[in-house]
Formats: sequence, C-alpha cells, structure tokens
Amino acid sequence: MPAAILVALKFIFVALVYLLVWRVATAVAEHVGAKPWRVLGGPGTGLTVVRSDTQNGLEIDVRQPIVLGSGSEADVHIDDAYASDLHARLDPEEGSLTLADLGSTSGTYVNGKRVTAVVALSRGDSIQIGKTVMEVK
Amino acid sequence: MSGSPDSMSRTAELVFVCGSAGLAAFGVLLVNLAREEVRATPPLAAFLVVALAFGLLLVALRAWAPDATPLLIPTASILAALGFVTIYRLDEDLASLHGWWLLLSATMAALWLYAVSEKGLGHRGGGWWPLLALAAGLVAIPSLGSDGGTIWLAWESGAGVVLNPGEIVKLVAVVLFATLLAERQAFFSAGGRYTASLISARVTTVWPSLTLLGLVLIGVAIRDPGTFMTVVGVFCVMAYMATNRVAYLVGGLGAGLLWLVAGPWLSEDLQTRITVWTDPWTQPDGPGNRLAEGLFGLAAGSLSGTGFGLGDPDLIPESTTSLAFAAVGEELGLAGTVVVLAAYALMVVTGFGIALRAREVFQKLLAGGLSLLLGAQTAMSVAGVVGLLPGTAMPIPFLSYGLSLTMVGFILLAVLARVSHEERV
Repeated sequence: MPAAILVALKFIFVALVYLLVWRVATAVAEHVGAKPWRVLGGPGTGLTVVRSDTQNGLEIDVRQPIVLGSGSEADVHIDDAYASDLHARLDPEEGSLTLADLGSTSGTYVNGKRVTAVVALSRGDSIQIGKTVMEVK
Repeated sequence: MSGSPDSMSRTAELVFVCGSAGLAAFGVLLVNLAREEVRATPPLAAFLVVALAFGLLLVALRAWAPDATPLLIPTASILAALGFVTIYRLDEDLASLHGWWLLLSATMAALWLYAVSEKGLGHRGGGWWPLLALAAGLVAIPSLGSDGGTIWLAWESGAGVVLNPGEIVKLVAVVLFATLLAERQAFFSAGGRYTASLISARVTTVWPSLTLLGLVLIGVAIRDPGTFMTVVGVFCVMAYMATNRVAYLVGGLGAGLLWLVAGPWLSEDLQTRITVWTDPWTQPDGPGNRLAEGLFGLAAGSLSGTGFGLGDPDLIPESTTSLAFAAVGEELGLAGTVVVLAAYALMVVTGFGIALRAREVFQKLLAGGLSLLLGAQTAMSVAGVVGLLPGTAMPIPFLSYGLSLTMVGFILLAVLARVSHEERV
C-alpha cells in the first residue's frame, strides 16, 4: 500500500472522528442550560388553588418572584393554619417556574414529594402547603 | 420520540453508534493496510463489538430509561471505538479480550438499568454495598500485584485478565458520598458543628458502607495514591456542590499539596515518581521510562500523527492502559488528542447538565459526582502522560484496556442516563 494513500486515509479517519464529535457538540450546546425537554405541556406561568377551606379557585400569577405564606410579609397570603409565615418561594426564570421551600415547619410537597432543593415545576404539577393544594397551570 | 430534541433523537443516537462502529472497523482496516495485510475478519469483528455493546445499551435505555438524554451514548461510543482500534493496533489478543469486556460491561449496565427500573433511584443509594464489599475483598487480597501505584489482580494464565478494584472503589465512593451529603446536608453546611446530626445518620444505610470504604481507602492510599487522590478530591468538590462552602475546596487543595510535600517521606514509590516527574531524562531507561517514552510518543506524533500502524507506540510502556493517551497521540497526533479531550469534555458537560436538571438532591450529587469522577480521572491520566502531574498511572475510561475500567465506564453511563430519565418522569 503506497504511503501517500495511507496518509490520505489517516486524514479521512481523523476527519470522520471530528465530524462525529462536532455533531454531538452542536447537539450538546443546544441543551446546555436548557430546561427539561420532556415537560408536560411546557413550563407553567401561574397556580390555581384547587383545594382549600377558604381559597378554592384562587388564581396566583407568577410573573415575578413571589413568596407564599400565612404571614403579612408574604406576597400571596395562604389561609392555612399549617402554613409558615414565609413558606415557599416561586421564581419564574426564562420560560420555567421554580419552587423553593423557605425552611417551613410543615414542608412543601410537589406531586406528593417533600421539596428539599429548588425544583422546576411543570404544567400539571401539584403543590401542597399545609392542607392547601395548588396546581401549576 | 415526541418531545425529544430535534437535533438528537433516539434514532440519531443509533446512527451515531453505527457510525462509531464503522469508525472502529475503518481504524482496524487502516492498521491492517499499514501492515500490508488484507483480512476481512478483524474490521468486521471491530464493527460488531462496538455496535453490539452500545446497541445493547441503547435497547436497555429504550426499555428501562426511555426519557434519558440521547447525548451521552454517542460520545462514549466514539471514544470506545478509538480505544478499541488503539488496543488492536498494539496487541490483537488483548483487543479480542477487550471486545468481550465491552460486551460484558454493556450487559451489566443493561442489567443494572433493569434492576432499578421498578423502584427508581430514589433519595439515596442503597444496595451498592455488595459491589463495595467486592472491591474491599479484592483490595484486601495480599497477593495483589502492585505496579508503580496501580493495583492489579491478574490471572497470568488468562493472558491479561485484570481486575482493578480501585476502579470499583471510585464508583462506589461517589454513590456513598452522594448519599451521605444528601442525607446530612445540614451537617456539612454547618461545617461540622452539629456532630449529632451526622452520628444519627441512618445506621443501616450509611455507616457500615462508610466504614468499609474507609478501610478500603487505607489500603488504596498505600498502594494506589492516584485513586486515593481522586476519591478525596471528588469528595471535596461534591461537598462544595452540596453546601456551597468554599472551605471544602480549599481544604481539598491543601490536603493535596500536603500529600505532595509529605508523600515522599512516607512512600518510596511516591518519592521516585516525583524525582522522575521533575527530571525524566536522567533515567530514561529506568523509572523515568514511562514518562519519557510517553513524551517521545507524543512528539513523534506531532500535529497529525504517524497514522495507525505506522508509529511505534509499542515502545511506550503500559500503552494499552495508563499511557493510552500517548499511544493515540503518536498515531493520530495533536489532531487526535484534541478531539479525544473534546469528547471527554462533552461527556462531562452533558453529565453536569443532567445534574443541574435533576430533581432530587441525591440524584443531583450522584450525577455531578460521576461527571466529576470521569473528568478528574481523564484529567489526571492525561496530566500524568504529558508531565503536568507526577505519574498518576491512571487508565482513561473507554479509551484504555481493562475489565473493571470498562465496566465502571458503562455503569457510569447507565447511572447518568437513569438520573436523566427520572428528571422528567
């Protein structure tokens, strides 16, 4: 086999490796920092109270960071004996909605699981604070 | 699949795996052409091995983690293909063995995916202790060979059948660290002031495993400082990830420097390695041989390499394991080594992406820790080859030969894929 052909084949091999890695790199670049791509119906923009003694049907719009709680300093008052004064914080980032528990006594639950870190919410998720249940819409 | 990114779907993933398998076949063909041999079997076998191993993993992912990111497997398959060609070029018998290891590892990863498919990963890592016990048992075997800082278990008659318990220790350590940090976040955030909180950690899950890990690490620290440093380093960064306390990073860095300064007094092996690292040329045929030959290999490769089968990577010691990077550098040159590093960087970035999106603290730390482990091991291995760090004698996952290494690599992929699957279920 002539050396020139071997050299040419070597370059073709390296070029193929680059091509494959480049293709993966572009796909990765699109998803770095992207939100989960399998979100039911996309990110939510607000909440609806679906179970509460006094606040059923209440619509909570989340266009800016808000704090939910039973105290007077909370942005949205939750009428629930089990809610802490400053209970949980909702934060709309680019195209997604996140929830963080603010060290509440009774905890915040998303789809039945207690929130221990900041969680991204999806449309249809259920949030429970005390006895009050809200749904992400 | 609906909802998957357009740019990379499950089908595209399959195309990539086939592309990587084709790459392996092409590389093997080039090696044979350079040797003036024309044989149809080796390229076909290379194609089949890569396609079957990663194909099996893809099937398992479709069945038991269908929502996992499709970005992980392609990169791993490209690296495995490159590794296979490099091993084939150096030792054909070893390559056929490595082929079996790839298939075996993919099977184990698939079985793991099946095992967790019912209950999911959950909040903490239970059920990993058998693997840790296995590693502990292996480290404890007194007849274990030690080769300049790497511990081996080899059956000489079996032509290079090698188990390196250090690899298993690293994987299990990350799982345990993630469990501990997730369970006892408050303790680590408080800088250790609430000791009671740590002591009360679930006795059944954490403490026996941690005690065992401690014992294993003592064994590893003496015989395999590279592994020891990786485990400690990964723990410090994971603790930082869990608590946002810079003290863990500073502490880890300080401990590393202390180890470098104090190590030579404690271990003769480490002393030799530091002497060799500062000046490999005075003893190029003695202890400096590894570093010197590795550097010669990289230099011979220059920009675009000699081409597969046309260089002399067989002169580099341990070129199928800890100096695999130098072997790639000799035959594919800077062009080849840069793309290999880029591929590892992509895998680490993808892994951290998974960690950022994960919902549970444990899963975040697990994915972050495993990505870190992959990155740290690659960085330390490459740094050892190019002389940035005293010879760490660490093989690179997917590129180097080795049963335990390949197995841990595939399980790492499976775990990352599972975390990625669970983040959007």
